[in-house]
Amino acid sequence: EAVIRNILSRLPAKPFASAACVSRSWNTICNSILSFPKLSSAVSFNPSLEKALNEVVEKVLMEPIRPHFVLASIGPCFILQAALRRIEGIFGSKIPIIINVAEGVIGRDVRTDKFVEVQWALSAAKKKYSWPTDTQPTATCGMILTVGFLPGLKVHLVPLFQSEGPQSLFVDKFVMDIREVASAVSHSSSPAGIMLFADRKTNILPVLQKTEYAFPKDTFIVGDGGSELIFRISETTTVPPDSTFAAVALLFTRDINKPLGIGEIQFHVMLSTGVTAVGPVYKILSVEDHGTSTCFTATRDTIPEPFEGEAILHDILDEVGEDIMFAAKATYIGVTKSRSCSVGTERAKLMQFHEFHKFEPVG
Amino acid sequence: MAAETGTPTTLTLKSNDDELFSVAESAAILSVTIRNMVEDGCAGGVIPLDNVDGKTLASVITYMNGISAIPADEEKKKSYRDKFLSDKDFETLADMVLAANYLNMSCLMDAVSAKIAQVMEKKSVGWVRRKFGIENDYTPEEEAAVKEEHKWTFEGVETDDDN
Repeated sequence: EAVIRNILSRLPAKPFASAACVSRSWNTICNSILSFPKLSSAVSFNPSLEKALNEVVEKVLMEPIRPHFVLASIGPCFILQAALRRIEGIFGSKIPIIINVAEGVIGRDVRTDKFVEVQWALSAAKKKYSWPTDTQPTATCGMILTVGFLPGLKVHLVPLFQSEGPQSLFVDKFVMDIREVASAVSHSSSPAGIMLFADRKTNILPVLQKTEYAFPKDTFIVGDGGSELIFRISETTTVPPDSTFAAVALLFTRDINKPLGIGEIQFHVMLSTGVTAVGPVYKILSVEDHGTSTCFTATRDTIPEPFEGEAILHDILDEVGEDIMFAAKATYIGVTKSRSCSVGTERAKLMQFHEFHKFEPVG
Repeated sequence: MAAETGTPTTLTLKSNDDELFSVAESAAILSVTIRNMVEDGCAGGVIPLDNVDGKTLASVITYMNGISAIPADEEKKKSYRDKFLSDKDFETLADMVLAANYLNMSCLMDAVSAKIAQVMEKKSVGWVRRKFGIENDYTPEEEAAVKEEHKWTFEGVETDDDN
């Protein structure tokens, strides 16, 4: 058995899967080889979608892995629908797949085997920031593909729908769909975690508030709200009439039928240093709503007179220094808010949220 | 060890079909099993290797001599191993991996395992069962379920061609 194990653990993912079909004892050996969670990812900058995909697929499937989900992020020169069609062609029709076009990719290049970080050169119309010309990115083609294997967890896609018009996100349905999926595979109506991918045009804030309210603290919720994306809806999903999708949740739920000997996966969410708070704490005195922006005054514990928002901005400038302020593309303030939340007909409950708001001088 | 005493010591190995082989001790101790016997002082006469036949043992000794003649250069050793295994058929490889396991020769074991994995890559489930002499003990339902679980590997791939 040690001999067989040594051989099978050297197989790439596909023949490894075939080996599991050989016999019960081989299946047991395969399961013991793959008893730990695994994430495999690769980056290619090949300008042909087909070739780029083949390169990253070959790389991520070089070792044994059973794909539980597939995430891809492609450069703006590729087309989402075409990428989805091809990735479905490789990974079949049952595995959750999400593909997006983000601002760039970070990962290991299949050619050089080195870590790379690339920001896509966006077309002038889409460009939000202006880079100094010498660092302006030129690449638009490339992709990162990540395949995940999480023994003991089930992975599902749950879409968030919206109808035409404002305030039209079906957030309650979204939360209830998540609870339903979680209840079907685990002892609890709360998933182990949610990775939320929202369309750039979706206002994700109310969605996050409600999901944060609806699920306990040990359910991690992370995600990305700034990209275009595509995913595959399973045939069993009912799409509400006259609606389109606004976001999708990649749902990780603890499987009650998980095989013996598989441990519990724990998730840890950490903030990167880029969003670590600097500067003092203020208490808001008054706010003035201007539609898309809010003017405010605030006090600081030791100083009795109120500050204008703009004075706070100057304080921050003093605190972090001009260099960092100019290098940063935007300044955000963390705001703690209390809001009442409910899902469906449940009684509303007061929740505290910590939100980041873009902060700029008036005018 | 023998090399330190000046005169190279020769060991005699006996296969399970009673073939005798002479091999330099410095090469033979690549096998941890043989090295332990030498260190325990039971290598004086003939060393019987009950799990290895003469044909396989001859191959393993060729490998022992070849690899121990190469100085400490991983690149060269690797290319020797690749060349050594390149013309071996599946049956020979299977015998060698079992022999390497019995003799506790991790470098040969790893190289042959990798080679067998490489051969298996493009083979069907049926081929693997036949070559490894494994009986399909799945019930038809179980087999369907396990195939369903690994469906993505078979989608778009022509399965069960036997070459």
